[in-house]
Amino acid sequence: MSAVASGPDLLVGMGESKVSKTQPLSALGLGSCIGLLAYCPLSGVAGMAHIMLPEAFPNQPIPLPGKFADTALPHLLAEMRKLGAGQMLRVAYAGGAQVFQFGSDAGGRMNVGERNAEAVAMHLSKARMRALAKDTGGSLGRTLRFDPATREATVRTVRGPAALLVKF
Amino acid sequence: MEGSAFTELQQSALAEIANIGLGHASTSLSEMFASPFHMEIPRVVQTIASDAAADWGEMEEAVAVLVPFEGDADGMLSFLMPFACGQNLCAALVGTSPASSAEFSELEASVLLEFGNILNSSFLRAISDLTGLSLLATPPMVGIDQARSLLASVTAQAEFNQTAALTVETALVADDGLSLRGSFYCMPSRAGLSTIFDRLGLGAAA
Repeated sequence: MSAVASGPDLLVGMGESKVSKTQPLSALGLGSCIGLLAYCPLSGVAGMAHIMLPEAFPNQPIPLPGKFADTALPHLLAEMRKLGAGQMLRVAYAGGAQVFQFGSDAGGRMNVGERNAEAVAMHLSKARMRALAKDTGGSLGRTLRFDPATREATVRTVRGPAALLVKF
Repeated sequence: MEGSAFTELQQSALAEIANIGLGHASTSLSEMFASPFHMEIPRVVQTIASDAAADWGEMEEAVAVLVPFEGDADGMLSFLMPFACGQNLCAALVGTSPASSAEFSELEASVLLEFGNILNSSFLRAISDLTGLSLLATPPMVGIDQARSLLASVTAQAEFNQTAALTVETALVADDGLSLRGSFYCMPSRAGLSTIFDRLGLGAAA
């Protein structure tokens, strides 16, 4: 794996959610998944979830709450509170691409990226939280990174260097 | 994938289907390239391994072909290969090869679509031959992007559709040196898998 430039990042794998006060957080190769980032400016606690699916399956165990848009947000906020985060959180998210850009998707069967983006927006709105920035859709997979030291979240695709998504 | 444990017998049946499918595929590719293809199957894995993404560098690029199928059983098939293999395919078939993923022309993309069609319909034919089920490939889709993003998208879609997944790592090597290495993902829906196992007399899918 190619090394990330500045220091060891805490990698947030598919379906995982992680929290940090100092270590940068990274979700690599989001594709149709969504990287949901929350930050508490008072405590400096950051959290990131690597959401794969819009909602948890009914009547099935949920080993990874970060995996589903409906369970990821409350889980992430609860984990952040354990590290001292308060109520006033800043949020941003990226991902939800349709990476299969050639050919036809007549039945719309490969639209999980779009569904993920809609679900994240809906659950944020339900929780009365407004994202300060988002970068969703399109046909390129993204890597989302947040560095608590600079409070900057960046998004990178194969097309170019990391671009600033938001500075919290 | 959760709850997709197969019995040993079911697993060897799936491996056999993969074997026959890749046999059909190498025959079709030999005709397409007018050069004999040989295949190797180094590994058959029961699921899309959760750490499969770690095999790829952060910005390493790949080509993925995805073919949903329907009929007596439904599901999806996908083939993921390194970007260089996609370039080699284009060079061998249309004489030009895109230098980067941003430079794929419609013609070059259609080469990959056609390749995906051949590979995946060979697999469907293998399942049909063994089971007598009628399976129809729907138009393929191709993605050229970060390997990790492609893999994440295939995995997410497989889980979204609640399919069972089988990974077959394979290498197809032509006499003239063209080598196509990659992973094949066979993702029948749970109902589709039950239908297939039922036809093979192997009992219900777990």
